Amino acid sequence: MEILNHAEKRTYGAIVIGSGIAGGWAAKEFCDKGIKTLVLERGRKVTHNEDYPTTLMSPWEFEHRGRLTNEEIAANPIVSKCYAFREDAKHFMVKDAEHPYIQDKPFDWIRGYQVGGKSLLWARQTQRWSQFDFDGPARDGFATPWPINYKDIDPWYSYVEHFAGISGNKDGLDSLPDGDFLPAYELTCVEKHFQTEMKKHYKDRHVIVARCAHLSEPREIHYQQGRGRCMSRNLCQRGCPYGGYFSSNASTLPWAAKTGNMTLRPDSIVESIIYDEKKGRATGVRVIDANTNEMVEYYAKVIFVTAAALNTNAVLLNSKSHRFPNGLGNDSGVLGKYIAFHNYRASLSAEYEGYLDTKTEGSRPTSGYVPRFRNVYKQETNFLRGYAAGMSAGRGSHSDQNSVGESLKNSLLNPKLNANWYAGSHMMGETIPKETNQVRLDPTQKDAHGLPIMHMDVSYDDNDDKMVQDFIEQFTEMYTKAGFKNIRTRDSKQAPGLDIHEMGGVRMGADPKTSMLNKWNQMHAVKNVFVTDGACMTSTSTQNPSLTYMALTARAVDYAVKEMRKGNI
Amino acid sequence: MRMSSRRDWLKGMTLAALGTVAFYDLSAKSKPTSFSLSIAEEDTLNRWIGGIIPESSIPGAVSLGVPVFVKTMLKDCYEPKAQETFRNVLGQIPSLYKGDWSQANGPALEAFLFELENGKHGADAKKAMSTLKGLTIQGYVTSEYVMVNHLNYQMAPGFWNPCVPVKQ
Repeated sequence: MEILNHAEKRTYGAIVIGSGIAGGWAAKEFCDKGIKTLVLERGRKVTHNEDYPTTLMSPWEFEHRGRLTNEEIAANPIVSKCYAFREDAKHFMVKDAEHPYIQDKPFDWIRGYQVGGKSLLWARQTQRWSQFDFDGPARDGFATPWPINYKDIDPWYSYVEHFAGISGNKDGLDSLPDGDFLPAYELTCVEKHFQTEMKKHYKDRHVIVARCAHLSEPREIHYQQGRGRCMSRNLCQRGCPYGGYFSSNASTLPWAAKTGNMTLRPDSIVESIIYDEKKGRATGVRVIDANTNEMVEYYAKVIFVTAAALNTNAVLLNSKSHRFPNGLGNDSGVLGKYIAFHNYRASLSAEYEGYLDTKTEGSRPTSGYVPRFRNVYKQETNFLRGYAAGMSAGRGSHSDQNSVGESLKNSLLNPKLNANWYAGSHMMGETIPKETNQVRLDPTQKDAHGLPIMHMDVSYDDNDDKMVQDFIEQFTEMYTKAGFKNIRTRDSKQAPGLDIHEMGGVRMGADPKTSMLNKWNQMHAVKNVFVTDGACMTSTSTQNPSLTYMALTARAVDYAVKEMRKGNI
Repeated sequence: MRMSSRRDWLKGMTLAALGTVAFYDLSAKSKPTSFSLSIAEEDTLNRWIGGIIPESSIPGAVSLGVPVFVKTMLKDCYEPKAQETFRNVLGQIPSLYKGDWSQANGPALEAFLFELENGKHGADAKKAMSTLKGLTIQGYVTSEYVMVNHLNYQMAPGFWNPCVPVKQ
């Protein structure tokens, strides 16, 4: 108890709430700049390699060969919908009973509570935003205008790409700017065929290999992190023994730790941020120990809230004071509102009856990518914004399983190449942030730690439905023009949330009356609090968002430290 | 996470790294991992699985331990009703077979398995055969022996050739 009574021992230069993609970057940047930093993580400790229990397991070592048991599915109707919640990675995902929430409308909230957060589990796709994406809200009249432009974030994209290690080609597309890339993984021959056909039939439909956070050819900076080349295992969700893909655990957190400036405190659930009315600033955080439920306070000059989009909203909504009765910094009333996500509902599969004398060998950790082509330069459809898409084509194999006995055995031991190449695409659609899509705290119901349970009131709208329809029509046309056969389309109608790209609620904007954060991700009303995870997003565009969180975080820390040194915060 | 289970994980990691087949339970609870059967039922199951993928110069499903996998899956991943149907059919198999089931093998056993598959012995038997064949194939092609010796299993290929000629 003695330590609890010594406030100075619990005082830091910076507090970072959360250790996922954004929190890990905040930790690294503060520590590199010599700031004593406390990183609070609500989940358990997961140390790179030491705590990846399944990473070296072969298929035969899994009791159920990867499958979930009936008991697990029954106990986890939400998280079991997620593709990564399987026998090999389920220990990195929050079980339904562990942190309940209320679905005012269907919402699948997929979470990773551990050191590293979802950076262990992410899909590692890292496409930059372009100016067209930042222009969206202002041009099309939704949400509120972004307070930053592409040129503000461009150098910070390069900065984080260099450290994280991003593989890709310089494709020269204005809708998807190039970056500081490691060598790209190549497209397959049928993907290249699709690429060529799209060029032939359309002016603006490009097929590229998706940029991804994998070390195709590590540089010195990656060796310094203790990371090595990606071996294309495609078992990333287990944690990578080589550090072949970027995660907080493999990269930013050990880097921050090496500086001697980081204190990492797992099992620490932030209850709220302490606001001092006399000082007019936040002075620290109240933390609940996840194991004992004991409350401890920590203090710092600056606080970064990077708890993952919706938990960041929850922390701020729960940080009530006389000055901010509706949540910290919430003078505008927009906190918790304008939640948006990515629309992943539609997909397509097809076959190609060509290149039959070829196949692939080995493996790659990415796929093809079709950047957004709808409404890029001007509004041209009956829906706002557009979608990017994945695109991949491979030559699988199969065994005839119609027989039994020796003949079945021979067939299983000698698989045959499939007659055709199989290809597929899925949409990644921008959704329009709306005031009615919101999260709020229940006034009476509490979780096991005494924290208010969150309500999710988020849904699709007509714009999303029209976009699903358009993806299906356009991609059917594109695959048809490229000569593919047996084209099948699907609308999964999956609930929002399962895309695991939830964003907003603490949006950036130039006007304090309609936004929470300024152009530096700094709270308009509380200058020493910053939000740089998905919660800060004013709109969503179509790109997988993590790279943008990394860049915004590094940029915001740079600004915050300069302001600290000037004595402004 | 309890410390004892952490130790088990680390132990498992070490065994896995050494290439030893190690099953360990990530849910850290001790629980039976088998679909418990009588000795007679075990014998029937083994003969049935052995008929689907028999032994020869190349090991078959039984010697590669597939029956343990099948029982684990039936117990943990199938609904009680499906388990009951399977168990009922399992009990009937020796009497459905024309001849001495304890000696069943070769073409006669294969012919019987085709009959089960084609529904000649009823819908439940057809369903049970389909379930068992699926699990037997899955257990067999994911066994260490088959993956390493026949299916060119590479956990970490470390290379990517996007377009290579098919060898004739």
